[in-house]
Amino acid sequence: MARTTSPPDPTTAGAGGSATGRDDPGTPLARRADAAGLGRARAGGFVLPGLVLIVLFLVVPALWTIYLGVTNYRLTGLAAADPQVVGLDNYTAALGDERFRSSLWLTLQFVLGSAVIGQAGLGFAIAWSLRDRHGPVRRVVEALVLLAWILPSSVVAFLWIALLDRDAGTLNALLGTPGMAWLLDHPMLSVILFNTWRGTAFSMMLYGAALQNVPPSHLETARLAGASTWQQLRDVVFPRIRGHVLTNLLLISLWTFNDFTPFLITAGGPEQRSEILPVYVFKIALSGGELGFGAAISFLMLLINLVIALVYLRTLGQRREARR
Amino acid sequence: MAASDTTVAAKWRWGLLDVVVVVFALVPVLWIASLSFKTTGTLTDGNFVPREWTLDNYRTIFSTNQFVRALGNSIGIALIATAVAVVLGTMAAYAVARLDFPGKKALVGVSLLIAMFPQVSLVSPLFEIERSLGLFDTWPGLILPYITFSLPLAIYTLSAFFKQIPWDLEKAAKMDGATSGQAFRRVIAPLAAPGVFTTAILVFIFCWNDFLFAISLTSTERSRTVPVALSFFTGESQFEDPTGAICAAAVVITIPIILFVLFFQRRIVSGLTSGAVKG
Repeated sequence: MARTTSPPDPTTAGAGGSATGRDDPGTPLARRADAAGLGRARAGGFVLPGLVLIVLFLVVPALWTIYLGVTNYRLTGLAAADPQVVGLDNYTAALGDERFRSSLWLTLQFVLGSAVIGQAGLGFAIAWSLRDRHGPVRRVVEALVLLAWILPSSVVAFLWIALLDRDAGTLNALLGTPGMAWLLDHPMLSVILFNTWRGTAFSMMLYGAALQNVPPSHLETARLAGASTWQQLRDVVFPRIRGHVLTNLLLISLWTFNDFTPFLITAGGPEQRSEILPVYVFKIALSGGELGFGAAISFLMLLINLVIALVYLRTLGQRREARR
Repeated sequence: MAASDTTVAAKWRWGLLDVVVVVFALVPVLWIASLSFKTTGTLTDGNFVPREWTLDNYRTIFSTNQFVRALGNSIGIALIATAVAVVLGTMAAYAVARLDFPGKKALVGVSLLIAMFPQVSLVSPLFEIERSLGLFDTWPGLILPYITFSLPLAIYTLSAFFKQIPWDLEKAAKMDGATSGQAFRRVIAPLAAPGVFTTAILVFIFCWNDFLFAISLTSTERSRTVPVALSFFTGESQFEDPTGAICAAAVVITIPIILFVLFFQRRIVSGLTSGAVKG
């Protein structure tokens, strides 16, 4: 957990980044600076190849996106040959666009429903139920949940289409509701359930590891004192795993926010009723060819990501302060 | 005793939850596997166990160039990207873990920031860059972005592993006359092997599963990978329902992933949570 002796440092608080850059406090400074005797030049050589690739294929496209966002660049037509810089027009257009605002609202529902409530809640419930189990039960449950997480997205999308299909779907067969068109009537509910199914593994694994930090004797004491499960969770467990809860929420919110997989299930439809932001950007930029406008919306998405990250990190920072 | 009664009841309740989770996770997967063994006629009968078993769907996909090429592309691209990303990631992570150089914190911070950048927003500039470099619809055109996108995670996970290795080992190696390079290769790299292996699995899974880059940066069978080929599937003729073939293809690309989970479950779990939990 947080080591409060180290000086406050904004970058170490990056997404789960608390493991980076924290040196052993017992190590003398001189040894810490270059323990392996690498020397600056050779260390540079070690980092350089990776760095070059990151700059070429991550930083340059990222900057390019920011540049495209202020142009009217399109894949076809007049503006394709001679793109003009249009300033903040794309941004004002986006903010005034009904479709963008409804997409943003759907994305918030998606993040809250499937990540914060669905994945984190279910993940914690599974981790809690498995906490003192070992052997086959634990392995099987973990393996299956993990499987849902790492199967190829086009495969899981197809699984869910088959599951929710109107005529031959498994769900209708199981529930005895023939002809129920889940993807047409409840598109958002479907993709939220889908993403909960898909992403619970990470929360489960993280909470599983976190719960090992809670001494069983404390729980035992609480139980003997007559605390209910809810009271045990609130007063004994939660204070010890707070950092993990926040890290987990941060990561799954960002992943869900940027998740493109629902496109494969509903393609944003029907009538854009499940068109979350990544799907919207894909449709505008790559299907519609409006690269400039799409880039502007991508940049807005990045800003929202940053806001989410900052809110979580500030909360985490306050907790650390409070525990000092 | 009343107290133990309630714990038994609670255990049962939680056990029930576990059963529900297993069913929840397993039903869609089994459904696909079952569909892939059904004949065209019985595809929509709604039976969980196929009435007539057949391998026709598998024969169909392995006889089409479309699927076989795509499978070759998927395997080649994912293996090369994983190998390169792990080598570059190991080198960079070693330097990050062992040396305080100026701008190190900024480097780590920036790479995490970029890793948070929505993948979909980098697709259009990458498309432009690759078209002008002639990389569009080629193997390197997918391999390079895969390497780059997995590097931040690889560096991050690997540097957590390197930090666990005591530096006295390198000093001892050098005392015995090894150079830095030798110390790294002979002493540190073998010790870090489990971490490297875990990272390799994670990177491979990422490349193997990717859909967004694969559909945006390819246009023909030359470099199209299986996840994308799946979405272009049609039956043998236009009028044939491709469901059976799609299911068979889905099962084929799922097999390596299932094997990874079966054999390396513990490693995957520890690799994914190590960074976040040590915090």
